[in-house]
Amino acid sequence: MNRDEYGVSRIKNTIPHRGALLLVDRVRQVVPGQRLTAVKAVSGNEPCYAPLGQDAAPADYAYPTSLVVESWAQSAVLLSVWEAPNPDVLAGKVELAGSINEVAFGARAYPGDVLEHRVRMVKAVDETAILAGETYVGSREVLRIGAFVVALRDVTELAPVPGRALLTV
Amino acid sequence: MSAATPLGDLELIRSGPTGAVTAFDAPVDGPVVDGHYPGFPVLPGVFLIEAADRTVRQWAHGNVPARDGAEGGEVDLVAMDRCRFHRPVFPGDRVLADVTVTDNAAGLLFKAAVATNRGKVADIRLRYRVRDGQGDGSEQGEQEAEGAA
Repeated sequence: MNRDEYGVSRIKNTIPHRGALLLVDRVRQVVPGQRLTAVKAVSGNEPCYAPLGQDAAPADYAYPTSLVVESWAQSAVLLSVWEAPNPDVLAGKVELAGSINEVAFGARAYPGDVLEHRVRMVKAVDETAILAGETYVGSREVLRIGAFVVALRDVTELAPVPGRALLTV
Repeated sequence: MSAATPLGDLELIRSGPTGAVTAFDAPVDGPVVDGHYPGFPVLPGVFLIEAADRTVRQWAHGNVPARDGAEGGEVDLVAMDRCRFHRPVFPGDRVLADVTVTDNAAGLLFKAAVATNRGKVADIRLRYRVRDGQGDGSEQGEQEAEGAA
Protein backbone atom coordinates (compact mmCIF):
# COMPACT_ATOMS: atom_id res chain seq x y z
CA MET A 1 0.00 0.00 0.00
CA ASN A 2 1.34 3.42 -0.94
CA ARG A 3 2.02 5.95 1.78
CA ASP A 4 -0.82 8.19 0.66
CA GLU A 5 -3.38 5.37 0.61
CA TYR A 6 -5.67 4.37 3.47
CA GLY A 7 -6.64 0.84 4.47
CA VAL A 8 -9.45 -0.80 6.39
CA SER A 9 -8.26 0.67 9.69
CA ARG A 10 -8.85 4.26 8.56
CA ILE A 11 -12.07 3.20 6.81
CA LYS A 12 -13.47 1.59 9.99
CA ASN A 13 -12.54 4.69 11.91
CA THR A 14 -14.53 6.81 9.46
CA ILE A 15 -17.79 4.95 8.66
CA PRO A 16 -19.85 2.52 10.80
CA HIS A 17 -20.21 -0.36 8.30
CA ARG A 18 -18.72 -3.64 9.57
CA GLY A 19 -18.13 -7.28 8.72
CA ALA A 20 -19.73 -8.61 5.54
CA LEU A 21 -21.42 -5.23 5.00
CA LEU A 22 -18.17 -3.24 4.86
CA LEU A 23 -17.68 -3.06 1.10
CA VAL A 24 -14.62 -0.81 0.73
CA ASP A 25 -11.09 -2.21 1.07
CA ARG A 26 -8.87 0.78 0.44
CA VAL A 27 -8.96 4.49 -0.26
CA ARG A 28 -6.51 5.19 -3.07
CA GLN A 29 -6.77 8.93 -3.15
CA VAL A 30 -8.75 11.54 -1.30
CA VAL A 31 -9.06 15.29 -1.64
CA PRO A 32 -11.35 16.12 1.29
CA GLY A 33 -14.52 17.90 0.28
CA GLN A 34 -13.82 17.28 -3.42
CA ARG A 35 -13.10 13.75 -4.61
CA LEU A 36 -12.12 10.25 -3.58
CA THR A 37 -11.05 7.03 -5.28
CA ALA A 38 -11.56 3.74 -3.44
CA VAL A 39 -11.35 0.05 -4.31
CA LYS A 40 -13.16 -3.12 -3.31
CA ALA A 41 -11.95 -6.59 -4.30
CA VAL A 42 -14.77 -8.99 -5.18
CA SER A 43 -14.19 -12.47 -3.77
CA GLY A 44 -15.93 -15.79 -4.37
CA ASN A 45 -16.22 -16.39 -0.62
CA GLU A 46 -18.59 -13.47 -0.04
CA PRO A 47 -21.99 -14.32 1.50
CA CYS A 48 -23.90 -13.46 -1.70
CA TYR A 49 -22.28 -16.48 -3.39
CA ALA A 50 -22.95 -18.95 -0.57
CA PRO A 51 -26.31 -20.18 -1.96
CA LEU A 52 -24.82 -21.01 -5.40
CA GLY A 53 -24.33 -24.72 -5.91
CA GLN A 54 -22.31 -26.85 -8.27
CA ASP A 55 -24.90 -26.33 -11.00
CA ALA A 56 -24.63 -22.51 -11.01
CA ALA A 57 -23.76 -21.06 -14.43
CA PRO A 58 -20.74 -18.74 -14.83
CA ALA A 59 -23.09 -15.77 -15.32
CA ASP A 60 -24.70 -16.49 -11.93
CA TYR A 61 -21.44 -15.30 -10.33
CA ALA A 62 -21.97 -11.74 -11.53
CA TYR A 63 -21.52 -9.56 -8.44
CA PRO A 64 -24.99 -8.30 -7.42
CA THR A 65 -25.66 -4.86 -8.85
CA SER A 66 -27.15 -3.76 -5.52
CA LEU A 67 -23.82 -4.48 -3.79
CA VAL A 68 -21.88 -2.54 -6.43
CA VAL A 69 -24.14 0.43 -5.67
CA GLU A 70 -23.69 -0.10 -1.90
CA SER A 71 -19.91 -0.29 -2.27
CA TRP A 72 -19.87 2.94 -4.33
CA ALA A 73 -22.22 4.58 -1.82
CA GLN A 74 -19.92 3.66 1.08
CA SER A 75 -17.08 5.33 -0.83
CA ALA A 76 -19.32 8.38 -1.21
CA VAL A 77 -20.05 8.41 2.53
CA LEU A 78 -16.31 8.12 3.21
CA LEU A 79 -15.74 11.31 1.23
CA SER A 80 -18.62 13.12 2.90
CA VAL A 81 -17.42 12.40 6.47
CA TRP A 82 -13.67 12.06 5.83
CA GLU A 83 -12.76 14.98 8.06
CA ALA A 84 -15.56 14.43 10.61
CA PRO A 85 -15.58 10.62 11.05
CA ASN A 86 -18.71 8.84 12.25
CA PRO A 87 -17.54 5.29 13.02
CA ASP A 88 -20.08 4.45 15.75
CA VAL A 89 -23.75 5.00 15.02
CA LEU A 90 -24.74 4.91 18.68
CA ALA A 91 -22.18 7.56 19.61
CA GLY A 92 -23.03 9.81 16.72
CA LYS A 93 -25.35 9.89 13.77
CA VAL A 94 -26.50 7.44 11.17
CA GLU A 95 -25.85 7.84 7.46
CA LEU A 96 -29.01 7.35 5.47
CA ALA A 97 -29.37 7.42 1.71
CA GLY A 98 -32.09 9.84 0.64
CA SER A 99 -32.06 9.16 -3.08
CA ILE A 100 -29.98 7.72 -5.91
CA ASN A 101 -30.85 9.12 -9.33
CA GLU A 102 -29.63 8.93 -12.93
CA VAL A 103 -27.88 5.60 -12.54
CA ALA A 104 -26.57 3.66 -15.55
CA PHE A 105 -25.44 0.05 -15.32
CA GLY A 106 -22.73 -1.30 -17.60
CA ALA A 107 -20.46 -4.34 -17.43
CA ARG A 108 -20.81 -6.88 -14.61
CA ALA A 109 -18.07 -7.71 -12.12
CA TYR A 110 -17.02 -11.22 -11.06
CA PRO A 111 -14.95 -12.78 -8.27
CA GLY A 112 -11.35 -11.72 -8.80
CA ASP A 113 -12.31 -8.31 -10.15
CA VAL A 114 -11.41 -5.10 -8.33
CA LEU A 115 -14.09 -2.41 -8.33
CA GLU A 116 -12.62 1.07 -8.57
CA HIS A 117 -15.03 3.70 -7.31
CA ARG A 118 -14.61 7.35 -8.27
CA VAL A 119 -16.61 9.82 -6.23
CA ARG A 120 -17.04 13.57 -6.65
CA MET A 121 -18.67 15.92 -4.18
CA VAL A 122 -21.31 17.92 -6.03
CA LYS A 123 -22.68 19.86 -3.08
CA ALA A 124 -22.61 19.72 0.71
CA VAL A 125 -25.01 21.69 2.88
CA ASP A 126 -25.12 21.18 6.64
CA GLU A 127 -25.41 17.42 7.12
CA THR A 128 -26.59 16.56 3.61
CA ALA A 129 -24.27 15.82 0.71
CA ILE A 130 -24.86 15.24 -3.01
CA LEU A 131 -22.27 13.08 -4.73
CA ALA A 132 -21.71 11.68 -8.24
CA GLY A 133 -19.27 9.26 -9.84
CA GLU A 134 -18.52 5.97 -11.52
CA THR A 135 -17.29 2.45 -10.87
CA TYR A 136 -14.81 0.72 -13.16
CA VAL A 137 -13.33 -2.74 -13.43
CA GLY A 138 -10.15 -2.08 -15.38
CA SER A 139 -11.31 0.02 -18.33
CA ARG A 140 -14.91 -1.26 -18.27
CA GLU A 141 -17.54 0.98 -16.74
CA VAL A 142 -19.76 -0.93 -14.33
CA LEU A 143 -21.79 1.89 -12.83
CA ARG A 144 -22.43 5.60 -13.33
CA ILE A 145 -24.28 7.62 -10.72
CA GLY A 146 -25.62 11.09 -11.50
CA ALA A 147 -26.76 12.11 -8.01
CA PHE A 148 -26.56 10.33 -4.67
CA VAL A 149 -28.04 12.21 -1.73
CA VAL A 150 -26.94 11.14 1.76
CA ALA A 151 -27.87 12.73 5.07
CA LEU A 152 -26.65 12.30 8.64
CA ARG A 153 -29.56 11.81 11.02
CA ASP A 154 -29.85 11.37 14.78
CA VAL A 155 -30.50 7.76 15.75
CA THR A 156 -33.20 8.91 18.18
CA GLU A 157 -35.20 10.46 15.33
CA LEU A 158 -35.31 7.19 13.46
CA ALA A 159 -36.15 4.40 15.89
CA PRO A 160 -39.47 2.76 14.99
CA VAL A 161 -42.41 3.64 17.21
CA PRO A 162 -44.40 0.49 18.10
CA GLY A 163 -48.10 0.62 17.34
CA ARG A 164 -47.83 3.62 15.03
CA ALA A 165 -48.42 1.60 11.90
CA LEU A 166 -50.11 3.49 9.12
CA LEU A 167 -53.51 2.35 7.92
CA THR A 168 -52.65 2.76 4.26
CA VAL A 169 -49.43 2.22 2.39
CA MET B 1 -32.99 -18.39 -11.46
CA SER B 2 -30.02 -18.69 -9.20
CA ALA B 3 -27.92 -15.56 -9.64
CA ALA B 4 -25.84 -14.35 -6.68
CA THR B 5 -27.84 -12.15 -4.31
CA PRO B 6 -27.44 -10.63 -0.84
CA LEU B 7 -31.15 -11.14 -0.13
CA GLY B 8 -32.94 -14.40 0.74
CA ASP B 9 -36.04 -15.77 -0.97
CA LEU B 10 -38.82 -13.48 -2.13
CA GLU B 11 -42.39 -14.68 -1.76
CA LEU B 12 -44.50 -14.09 -4.86
CA ILE B 13 -47.75 -12.51 -3.68
CA ARG B 14 -49.34 -11.64 -7.00
CA SER B 15 -48.42 -11.56 -10.67
CA GLY B 16 -50.41 -10.30 -13.64
CA PRO B 17 -50.01 -8.80 -17.11
CA THR B 18 -48.92 -5.38 -15.81
CA GLY B 19 -46.70 -6.30 -12.91
CA ALA B 20 -46.07 -8.33 -9.76
CA VAL B 21 -45.82 -8.06 -5.98
CA THR B 22 -43.32 -9.91 -3.80
CA ALA B 23 -42.60 -9.88 -0.08
CA PHE B 24 -39.73 -10.68 2.26
CA ASP B 25 -38.97 -10.26 5.95
CA ALA B 26 -36.01 -8.03 6.79
CA PRO B 27 -33.50 -10.33 8.56
CA VAL B 28 -33.47 -10.25 12.36
CA ASP B 29 -29.95 -11.66 12.71
CA GLY B 30 -26.92 -12.53 10.59
CA PRO B 31 -24.29 -10.52 8.75
CA VAL B 32 -26.61 -7.75 7.54
CA VAL B 33 -27.88 -6.98 11.03
CA ASP B 34 -24.40 -7.31 12.56
CA GLY B 35 -22.68 -5.07 10.04
CA HIS B 36 -25.24 -2.41 9.10
CA TYR B 37 -24.97 -0.99 11.68
CA PRO B 38 -23.63 -2.46 14.96
CA GLY B 39 -26.03 -1.40 17.72
CA PHE B 40 -28.57 0.11 15.32
CA PRO B 41 -29.52 -2.36 12.59
CA VAL B 42 -31.13 -0.82 9.50
CA LEU B 43 -31.68 -2.72 6.25
CA PRO B 44 -29.36 -1.24 3.60
CA GLY B 45 -31.46 0.76 1.14
CA VAL B 46 -29.88 -1.08 -1.79
CA PHE B 47 -31.64 -4.26 -0.61
CA LEU B 48 -34.90 -2.58 -1.63
CA ILE B 49 -33.44 -2.04 -5.10
CA GLU B 50 -32.42 -5.71 -5.10
CA ALA B 51 -35.97 -6.76 -4.17
CA ALA B 52 -37.51 -4.57 -6.89
CA ASP B 53 -35.03 -5.86 -9.49
CA ARG B 54 -35.66 -9.51 -8.63
CA THR B 55 -39.41 -8.94 -8.70
CA VAL B 56 -39.10 -7.54 -12.23
CA ARG B 57 -36.98 -10.53 -13.30
CA GLN B 58 -39.48 -13.00 -11.86
CA TRP B 59 -42.29 -11.20 -13.65
CA ALA B 60 -40.35 -11.10 -16.91
CA HIS B 61 -39.98 -14.90 -16.96
CA GLY B 62 -43.67 -15.36 -17.58
CA ASN B 63 -44.49 -12.14 -19.36
CA VAL B 64 -41.68 -11.16 -21.73
CA PRO B 65 -41.43 -13.16 -24.95
CA ALA B 66 -38.10 -14.66 -26.00
CA ARG B 67 -36.12 -12.87 -28.68
CA ASP B 68 -33.69 -14.33 -31.22
CA GLY B 69 -33.02 -17.60 -29.52
CA ALA B 70 -32.61 -16.27 -26.00
CA GLU B 71 -34.36 -18.04 -23.17
CA GLY B 72 -37.82 -16.60 -22.60
CA GLY B 73 -38.13 -13.62 -20.33
CA GLU B 74 -34.46 -12.82 -19.71
CA VAL B 75 -33.98 -9.09 -19.13
CA ASP B 76 -30.93 -7.00 -18.22
CA LEU B 77 -31.04 -3.97 -15.94
CA VAL B 78 -29.62 -0.96 -17.79
CA ALA B 79 -30.62 2.05 -15.67
CA MET B 80 -32.19 3.28 -12.49
CA ASP B 81 -33.60 6.66 -13.37
CA ARG B 82 -34.80 7.38 -9.88
CA CYS B 83 -34.70 5.87 -6.40
CA ARG B 84 -36.10 7.73 -3.45
CA PHE B 85 -35.87 6.32 0.09
CA HIS B 86 -38.63 7.56 2.39
CA ARG B 87 -37.82 5.89 5.71
CA PRO B 88 -35.60 3.13 7.10
CA VAL B 89 -36.50 -0.57 7.23
CA PHE B 90 -35.80 -2.35 10.52
CA PRO B 91 -35.15 -6.04 11.35
CA GLY B 92 -38.34 -8.10 11.20
CA ASP B 93 -40.22 -5.62 9.01
CA ARG B 94 -42.30 -7.29 6.30
CA VAL B 95 -41.35 -5.60 3.04
CA LEU B 96 -43.60 -5.58 -0.04
CA ALA B 97 -42.21 -4.72 -3.47
CA ASP B 98 -44.94 -3.80 -5.98
CA VAL B 99 -43.63 -3.38 -9.53
CA THR B 100 -45.64 -2.13 -12.50
CA VAL B 101 -44.68 -1.86 -16.17
CA THR B 102 -45.12 1.75 -17.21
CA ASP B 103 -43.78 1.70 -20.76
CA ASN B 104 -43.13 -0.97 -23.29
CA ALA B 105 -41.92 1.14 -26.21
CA ALA B 106 -38.38 2.19 -25.33
CA GLY B 107 -37.33 -1.02 -23.67
CA LEU B 108 -39.02 -2.00 -20.43
CA LEU B 109 -39.64 0.67 -17.82
CA PHE B 110 -40.85 -0.27 -14.35
CA LYS B 111 -41.90 1.68 -11.34
CA ALA B 112 -41.57 -0.02 -7.99
CA ALA B 113 -43.34 1.00 -4.81
CA VAL B 114 -41.74 -0.61 -1.77
CA ALA B 115 -43.57 -0.51 1.56
CA THR B 116 -43.69 -1.92 5.09
CA ASN B 117 -46.58 -1.72 7.57
CA ARG B 118 -45.25 1.70 8.57
CA GLY B 119 -45.80 3.03 5.07
CA LYS B 120 -43.95 3.53 1.84
CA VAL B 121 -40.17 3.05 2.16
CA ALA B 122 -38.96 3.56 -1.42
CA ASP B 123 -40.00 4.62 -4.92
CA ILE B 124 -37.80 3.23 -7.66
CA ARG B 125 -37.76 3.45 -11.47
CA LEU B 126 -35.82 0.77 -13.30
CA ARG B 127 -35.14 0.30 -17.02
CA TYR B 128 -34.36 -3.00 -18.70
CA ARG B 129 -33.60 -4.35 -22.11
CA VAL B 130 -34.77 -7.72 -23.33
CA ARG B 131 -31.85 -10.09 -23.74
CA ASP B 132 -31.47 -11.18 -27.37
CA GLY B 133 -29.19 -14.15 -26.90
CA GLN B 134 -26.54 -12.55 -29.14
CA GLY B 135 -23.89 -11.34 -26.78
CA ASP B 136 -24.96 -9.11 -23.96
CA GLY B 137 -26.71 -11.67 -21.85
CA SER B 138 -25.48 -14.81 -20.18
CA GLU B 139 -22.92 -15.46 -22.90
CA GLN B 140 -21.21 -12.19 -22.09
CA GLY B 141 -21.37 -13.18 -18.44
CA GLU B 142 -19.59 -16.40 -19.27
CA GLN B 143 -16.86 -14.66 -21.23
CA GLU B 144 -16.36 -12.05 -18.56
CA ALA B 145 -16.31 -14.61 -15.81
CA GLU B 146 -13.58 -16.46 -17.63
CA GLY B 147 -11.75 -13.23 -18.51
CA ALA B 148 -11.82 -12.18 -14.87
CA ALA B 149 -10.12 -15.34 -13.61
